Amino acid sequence: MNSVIEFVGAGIVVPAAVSVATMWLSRQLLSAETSSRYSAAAAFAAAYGVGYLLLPSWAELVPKRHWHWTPYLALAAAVTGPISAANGLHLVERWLLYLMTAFVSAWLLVPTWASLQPPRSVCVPLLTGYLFLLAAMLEPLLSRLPAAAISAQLTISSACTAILVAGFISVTYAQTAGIVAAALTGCLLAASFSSGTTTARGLSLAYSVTVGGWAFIGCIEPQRPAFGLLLAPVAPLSLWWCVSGPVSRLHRRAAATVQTVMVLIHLAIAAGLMATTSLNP
Amino acid sequence: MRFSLGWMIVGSLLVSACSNQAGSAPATSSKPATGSSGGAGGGGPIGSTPTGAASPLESSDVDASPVPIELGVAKLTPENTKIEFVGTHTGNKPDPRTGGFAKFSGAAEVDSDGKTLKSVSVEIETGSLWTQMQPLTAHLNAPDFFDTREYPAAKFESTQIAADGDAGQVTITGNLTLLAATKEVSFPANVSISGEGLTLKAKFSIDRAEFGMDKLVERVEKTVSLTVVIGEKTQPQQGPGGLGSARGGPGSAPGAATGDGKK
Repeated sequence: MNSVIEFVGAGIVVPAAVSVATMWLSRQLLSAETSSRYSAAAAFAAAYGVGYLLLPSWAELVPKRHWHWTPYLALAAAVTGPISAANGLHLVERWLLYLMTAFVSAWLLVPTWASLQPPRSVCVPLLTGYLFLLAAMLEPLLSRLPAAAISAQLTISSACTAILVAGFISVTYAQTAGIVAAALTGCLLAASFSSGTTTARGLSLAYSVTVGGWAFIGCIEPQRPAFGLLLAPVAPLSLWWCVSGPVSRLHRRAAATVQTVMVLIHLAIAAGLMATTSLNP
Repeated sequence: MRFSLGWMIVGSLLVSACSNQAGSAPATSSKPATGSSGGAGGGGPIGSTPTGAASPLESSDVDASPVPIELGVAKLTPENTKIEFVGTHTGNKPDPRTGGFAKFSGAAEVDSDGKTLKSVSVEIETGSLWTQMQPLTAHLNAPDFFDTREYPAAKFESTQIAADGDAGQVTITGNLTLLAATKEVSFPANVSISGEGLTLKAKFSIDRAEFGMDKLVERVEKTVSLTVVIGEKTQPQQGPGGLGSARGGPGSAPGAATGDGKK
């Protein structure tokens, strides 16, 4: 029982609280424009960092394994992501920033195992492309949808990714990946109780690097890669169906319902794929 | 502030095939105290089992075929040797799960008069582990237990083999390397050397947490029972599978323990 309390406290409540506090602080200290870009990403990175710090000693602060880099990559993405969201930046410049961050992340997250399949020379560019596309396609959504709405979907997707990792790969990995969901929960709470000035702009790169990164880490852990995991982080991209056409004209509550259903369907497909793969090795 | 545990509730709901009724397992930890000088008795006399764990076999039930000795050395392979483990859950329902390794290589050296065992060494390809259930096999390969991606090999090298008094009874002391830790273990064994060859039967327990395999200790016992029989072929009850399929499958040719998979 004590361990459950510890887990809920240090693994969920504390990161979420740090996320909320950081978002509030950033709104107080930064200008409106800067805060609109940095608050969500900064809150996310701070929350993930604190949550990681509270993990047992096997989550080393000096990276010795590929997944030990995730909190530092989240921090880097929390800087480059908001920069790329600045007004006046050309699209190519924005994408170059994404590409650089994605490449560095891929370089650090792809392990050097001799038995890695596909080999590292293939995994690095593939992961770079995956992280880049995820961030590039997600960022415009952050501006088009209300912060609370998009934060909710990001939280659901990251939580599902962690659950799939727990169920099919490793509880150890899931314990760390779950902190990401807790950090996004804090962003969601802050967005839900704000006066409407909160945005999730600048968050896409941090989300891509961490949630996408953890999906990749879980994917390549087994001898036969679990590619179904890579579907979970991209679930929020199904919200593109909701920003135009008849769905975009729905009332707020109905729109939220449709958005959630679309994301859940996507996640169910990912979970089904994982289950099928595990039953038929 | 660092804390232990996490995701037990969520993980246990989903890892039902792996760590709930489907069992869990091995982990190794030397029950004979690490660093102890021989005679600590391993898990006790041959045939002893960890508390609450059902043994898959007793040494007296095994009919071992002697492994030929050539130039004083008996080569150990999955064709003539088996290495198995049994892990259990904590609580009132231990649900013991049996597993083993399908790829390993080693050697047992006898002295010049061909009557006493001089040394035993074996290197195991951890990714070749098998259990009765594919999801369990996949989970044991994961960082929660053997972390076979990072630690593709486990080793045992004897440092001392001392007669126990009774004919054929010895205490083997040596260094067991698992994950990133090397600990000294001691265990009793029944050795028989004849003109036909060598047989050895040993059963003992270790504490997996001593080797750094300390995850999920609230659900899976730290004590793991190991059985080694030289003279009996490895026969996996189910091939390695799930998402963590071994590279060569069970019963593959030996000698790959130091090759494929090394970083």
